[in-house]
Amino acid sequence: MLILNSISKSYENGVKALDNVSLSIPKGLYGLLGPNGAGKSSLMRTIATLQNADSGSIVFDGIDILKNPNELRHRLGYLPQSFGVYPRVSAVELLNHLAILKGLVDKKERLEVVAGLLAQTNLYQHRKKAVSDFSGGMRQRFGIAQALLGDPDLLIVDEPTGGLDPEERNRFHNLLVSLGKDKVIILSTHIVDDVAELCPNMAVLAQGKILLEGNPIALIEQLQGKIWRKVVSVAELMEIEAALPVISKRLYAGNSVVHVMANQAPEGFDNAPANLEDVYFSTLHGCNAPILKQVV
Amino acid sequence: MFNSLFKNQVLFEWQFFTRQPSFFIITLIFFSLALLLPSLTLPILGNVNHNGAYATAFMTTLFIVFSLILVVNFIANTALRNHETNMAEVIFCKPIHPCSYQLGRFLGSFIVVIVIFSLVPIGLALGSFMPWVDPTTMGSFNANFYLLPFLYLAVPTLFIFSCIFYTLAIRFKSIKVVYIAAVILMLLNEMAGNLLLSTDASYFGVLLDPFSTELFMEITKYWTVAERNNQELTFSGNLMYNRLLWMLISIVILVGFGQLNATLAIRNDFVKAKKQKKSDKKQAKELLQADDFLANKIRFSGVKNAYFKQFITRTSFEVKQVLFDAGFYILSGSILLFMMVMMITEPQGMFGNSLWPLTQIMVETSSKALTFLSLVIITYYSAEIIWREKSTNIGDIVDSLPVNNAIFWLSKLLAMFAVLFLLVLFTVVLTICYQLSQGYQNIDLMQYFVSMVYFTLLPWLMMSVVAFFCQALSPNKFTGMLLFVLFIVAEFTLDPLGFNHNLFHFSHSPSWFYSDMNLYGQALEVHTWYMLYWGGFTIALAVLTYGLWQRGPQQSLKVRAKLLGYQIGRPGLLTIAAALFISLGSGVNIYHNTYVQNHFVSQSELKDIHANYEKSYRQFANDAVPAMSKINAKVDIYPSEHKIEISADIVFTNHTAQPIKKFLVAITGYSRILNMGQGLGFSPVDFTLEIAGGKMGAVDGELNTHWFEFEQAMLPNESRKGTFTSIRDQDGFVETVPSLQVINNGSFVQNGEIFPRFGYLKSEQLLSNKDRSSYGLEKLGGTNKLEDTRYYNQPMSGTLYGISGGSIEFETTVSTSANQTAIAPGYLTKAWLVGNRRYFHYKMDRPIQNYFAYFSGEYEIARSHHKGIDIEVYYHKEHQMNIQRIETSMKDSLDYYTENFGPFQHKQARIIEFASKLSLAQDFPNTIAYSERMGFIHDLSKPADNDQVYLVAAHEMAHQWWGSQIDPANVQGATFIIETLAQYSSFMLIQKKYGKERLAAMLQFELNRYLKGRSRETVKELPLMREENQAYIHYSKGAIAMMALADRLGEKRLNSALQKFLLKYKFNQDKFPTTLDLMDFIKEGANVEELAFITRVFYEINIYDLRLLSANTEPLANGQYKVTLNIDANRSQMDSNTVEQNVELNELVDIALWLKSSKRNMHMSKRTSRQPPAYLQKHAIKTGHNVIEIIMNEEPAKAMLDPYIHFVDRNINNNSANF
Repeated sequence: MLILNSISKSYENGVKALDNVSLSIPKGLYGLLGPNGAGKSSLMRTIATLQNADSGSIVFDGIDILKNPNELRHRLGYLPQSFGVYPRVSAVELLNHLAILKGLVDKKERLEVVAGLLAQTNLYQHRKKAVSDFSGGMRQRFGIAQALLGDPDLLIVDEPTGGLDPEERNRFHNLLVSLGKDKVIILSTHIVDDVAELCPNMAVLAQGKILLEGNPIALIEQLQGKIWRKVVSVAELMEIEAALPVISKRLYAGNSVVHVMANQAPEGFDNAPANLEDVYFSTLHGCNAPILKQVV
Repeated sequence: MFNSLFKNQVLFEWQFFTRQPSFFIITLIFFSLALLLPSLTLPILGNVNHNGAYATAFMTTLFIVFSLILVVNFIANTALRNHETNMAEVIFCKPIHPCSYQLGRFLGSFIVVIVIFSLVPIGLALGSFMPWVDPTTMGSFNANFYLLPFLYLAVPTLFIFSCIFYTLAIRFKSIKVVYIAAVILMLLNEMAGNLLLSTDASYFGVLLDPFSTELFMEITKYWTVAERNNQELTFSGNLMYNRLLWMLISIVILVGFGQLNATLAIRNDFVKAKKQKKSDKKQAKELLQADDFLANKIRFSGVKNAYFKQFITRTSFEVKQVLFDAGFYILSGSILLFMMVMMITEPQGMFGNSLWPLTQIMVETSSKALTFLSLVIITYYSAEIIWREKSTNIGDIVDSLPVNNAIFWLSKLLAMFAVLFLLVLFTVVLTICYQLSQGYQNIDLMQYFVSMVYFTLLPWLMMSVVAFFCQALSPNKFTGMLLFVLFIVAEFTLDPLGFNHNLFHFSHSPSWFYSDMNLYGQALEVHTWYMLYWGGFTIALAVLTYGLWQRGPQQSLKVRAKLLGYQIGRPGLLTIAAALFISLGSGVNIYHNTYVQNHFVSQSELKDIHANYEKSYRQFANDAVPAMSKINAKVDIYPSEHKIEISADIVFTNHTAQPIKKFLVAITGYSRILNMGQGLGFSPVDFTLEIAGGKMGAVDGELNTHWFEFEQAMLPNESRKGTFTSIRDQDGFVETVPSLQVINNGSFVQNGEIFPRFGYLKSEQLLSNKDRSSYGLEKLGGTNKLEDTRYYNQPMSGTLYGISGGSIEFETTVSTSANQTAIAPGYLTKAWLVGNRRYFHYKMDRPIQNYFAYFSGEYEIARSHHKGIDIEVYYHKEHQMNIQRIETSMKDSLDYYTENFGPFQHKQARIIEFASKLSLAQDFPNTIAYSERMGFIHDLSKPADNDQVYLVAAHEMAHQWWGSQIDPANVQGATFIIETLAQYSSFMLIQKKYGKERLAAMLQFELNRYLKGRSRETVKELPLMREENQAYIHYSKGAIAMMALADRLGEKRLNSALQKFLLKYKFNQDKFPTTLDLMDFIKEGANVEELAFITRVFYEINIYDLRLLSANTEPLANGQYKVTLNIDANRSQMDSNTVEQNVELNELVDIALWLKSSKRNMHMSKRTSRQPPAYLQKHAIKTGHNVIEIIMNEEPAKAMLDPYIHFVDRNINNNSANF
């Protein structure tokens, strides 16, 4: 159980990255959704003991991680949003090196883990290549492998599936789900589908604030019957946007598909089944804040 | 299109950089340093104007070295920016013309570099007008002095660096390659400097230097003070060749490899075509294998206390990262190459010959070569290692691992240490290989360890902790490197501010030397205390650095500083406390030793003391003082205790015409004024002085100078008995090399150091006119004028060492430890052993000058007997190499000097080796002190080696005549009579033994020393006749002048004049001779031409410029050959205002021709292996163009003007030509 209590963090240039963030994150996969620049990475790094918060506390399993970062690090797996590697070091060497740093001193265990993780991430046949020469997707897989070293109880993955092809993405998702039973796994992403597929719990973060927290299914349920849909031309779109609370619009075969949230159907709109994307966008655009807050 | 893009790019670069903070930081640093520099006292500038042509250009060259940072930062940044910021893909897809784009970028950043550097001349110029500048150091302002060095030296160098670095950065897409190139360029610069020192390869050295700093030193090496103040640089000669060559090289590099015209595209640089793809079969197999591992258990969790394993893994990883890198190979490869060049070219002796490759010499050469390099390496690798995670962007992953900061930090520090250690190790292995290749088998590994690791490496390790600290303070690599460089620069500025004690110089300890006789002496102990002192600080600094460790994303220093206490915690604080306690403890001990038990005087205090002394006692300068006329001294030397005890019965005599009522007494080591000029550390001393009818009077507390007062004045010619006792004992250690040379083995103490000195000591006045004016003292009048007859009855020996003149009867009993031999002038009458003390009684059978010394050491003695004279050489047991040479020289000297000048006054001649860092030899009655490094360890095994050992022994032997038998009057030219005549005598022996060709090879060194010496003259160059103890005149010019005179008058005639001169003044006690008297004898019977020649050589300062423009030969019908030589000749004369002017030249100059048939044996540059010429005649040469025609029977191959160096020729390289 990870409990964040009133975490705030400002940078020296005046940007308030985190503003009084409180969350309690149970075991299992936890989705943290937010647009670019919402403060997701700041929050991840803070939880990953890489930076301190200005105020507030973070407790994991009784460890105050701001005070005892090293205690947490023993139980942490972290995949940063973007990362590089040392030049001229092969995948197996680097993973082995990181495994030792993680505390896997037993050689037999370590070799088993390293080989296993390389196989899991489909890198085994490339293990002798320098990671710095890997393609983007391979490198990302290596990142996943290293995050899983040492059987972490808290796994933080920041935008993990970017650059993975669909097959790899599936494979990774399966791995996460299989691990999620007894771990806290925080998945930070701006891809709604990832959360929808994986996470029993989620939160939406924007401009450093938690806008929404809850179970995706329950959240979607709250919006059922309030989402209306219409296919319009580009010219009509302007008018509708001015008149109605549009939560999303998407191009479909040259026309725009508009989603609007309202208690009754606006004229010419059809009812549409609510999905997580509607929850996310309606939260971001602030139009349903009163409704959903109550739900939470 | 082309043009606008080009302009646009130039403009873009300019705007980009002027927005970067580093632009302002660097600009500020360059400008403020330039503004300050003219006000600093730079020893190399001596007396020249700080805004003169030379000083300004020299200061500009200092910035050129600095500018490397500038170019690396800006040019490489431009070249790599697209690559590093991943902008390449965006930019390269735009429709741009590659050449104008690239060239625009290059020129844009080059302009930034030039603009920043242009602040240097501006700053230097403004700096000379600042209110804090001492106006006496400035001449009149001339804008060209600033502009020309900027244009000729700085701009081309910046261009060269820019082209090379830009190309490398573009090609290799790596800043590392650029850094390494920078180091290699620096090595080239150092190598050039080294080659320039060895005369044979200097031409090569001039071209080799891309910086132009060494080139500049070479061009100006013979410039006189007037030229240094006024002569503008010209773009010609070597300067032009060097600049054009390097500009050409760099343009070729830029155009040829800079990819200016290549299509803009992303290239996968350096991804080598890896080994061919694995076979399909193998791949399939591996995939299958991989499936096996899928079932592996991956859920093992780590243990919490894996510290040790983590530490080992991390350290070996860091070390590997550094070592298995092309950069390291290139770097160590070029360092080794550099070391090799250093070893081979390092000229050790005075005449270009090398020393035996003893470990002490090798260690000194290599640690000297590495001093600067080590700082460069520390600067570079500290940044590289500390910022590795940040720059590869793996930081977030690694920092989130359960690893203690201490492990990260320590492993990085150890990697840094490993680099430095390997550097030392490579060097040692290389030097050992060199020793073995030279056939030297006595490899002293322990000495390598102590000298290279304990004395050399340890301080570097401490410095690297400072570099880490600088990086920890900084937001990025570059700022950290800059901070560290500023730290180093700041260290250099401490001395002039009065902080010259090593307690203020991080990781420094007092200078030390190793001697085969004395080993490390006290240095090991002293160094240990300083290392403890600095080690404590280093540890404290290391803990602080650890506390400021950057973990996770960049945090400002402020934030980290706030967390500092938390980070280091109690153990950290305790470590700091313990470390500082060690520092404090050893600091207190050092302070106690150097300030309390011994004196320490900083350079500025020393000047205060000397000025104070002069102001207080100047008025007594001409007071009469008693002289010692008989000394019977009991001297006990305690080598291991660094103690010497004196108790002497002395008869004092008033040789003057005035009665003496009171006089000043000063004792070396006791009186603050007297510390033998070594400086800065000396030990206190106790003494008593009693003379019948008087007592020690008032003491000047500040200067520890006494008055001795007689109740009844001592009348002229009256003698009184007295006693003197003193103990000089060095307790603990001193800051500098101890002034008292009582050491474990190889002690050497002169009477001036242990006996009292009477009267006002002119030698202790401030010498530099700049210092004098700042203390309100008028300029020194210099030595007494040659014509001032008032001083003709005052012997020079009486004033040179501040000891009253006149001769003494001398007898002494000297004791030392049982395993050593003690020596003093006189003949051994008795030697005995009491307990563990060995006693020797020496008695001189005739009066000697009041000038003697004591020696003690474990000696081997080589004894021989030559025509009634005992010859003894006392030497260290391993130093048998040159003993025979020394003995031969002594015998040849006795033969030649006795035959030509007169009999030897003693029954025995001894040469005694002593341990010293310095190369020096000194004569005493029947006893010559000869330091280990002056000739005992020289390698003269090759026939081409110039025999310095033979020469020096002959020179000191000659002083038994010139100096001991004849004592000149205390006026100008006195040292001419002593030193120049000794030079003449010894060079005459060289000519006898080795021939004229070898003599010329050695005179070439003297010519070089004279020309360099006069360019550094801080007071005034004088003609030989009037020289005022100026070494470059009486030794170097003197040798050339006397050998030329011997050539002109003939050896017989000159020697007979010298013999008559000696006969007239030998052992004179009332009228002492001057150079005027000497010249009377030399001029006897000379014709008009010879008289004019003598005037030119001895009475005037003439500098010649002889050039052989061309040499042609044509066969004649009768089978003979007609040789035509085109010669250009000029003479300039320095007048009494030190202004040089061209005057008419009319001289007989030797012309030599060598035949084709002997060409095989003849090397252009090596005079040492030259054959005698087939034709040698004097020809009349006049100012300007001369054509000389000579008919030869055989075809000549080579012609040379003045082959035996009878003229002071500014440039002897243009005196010869091949046909």
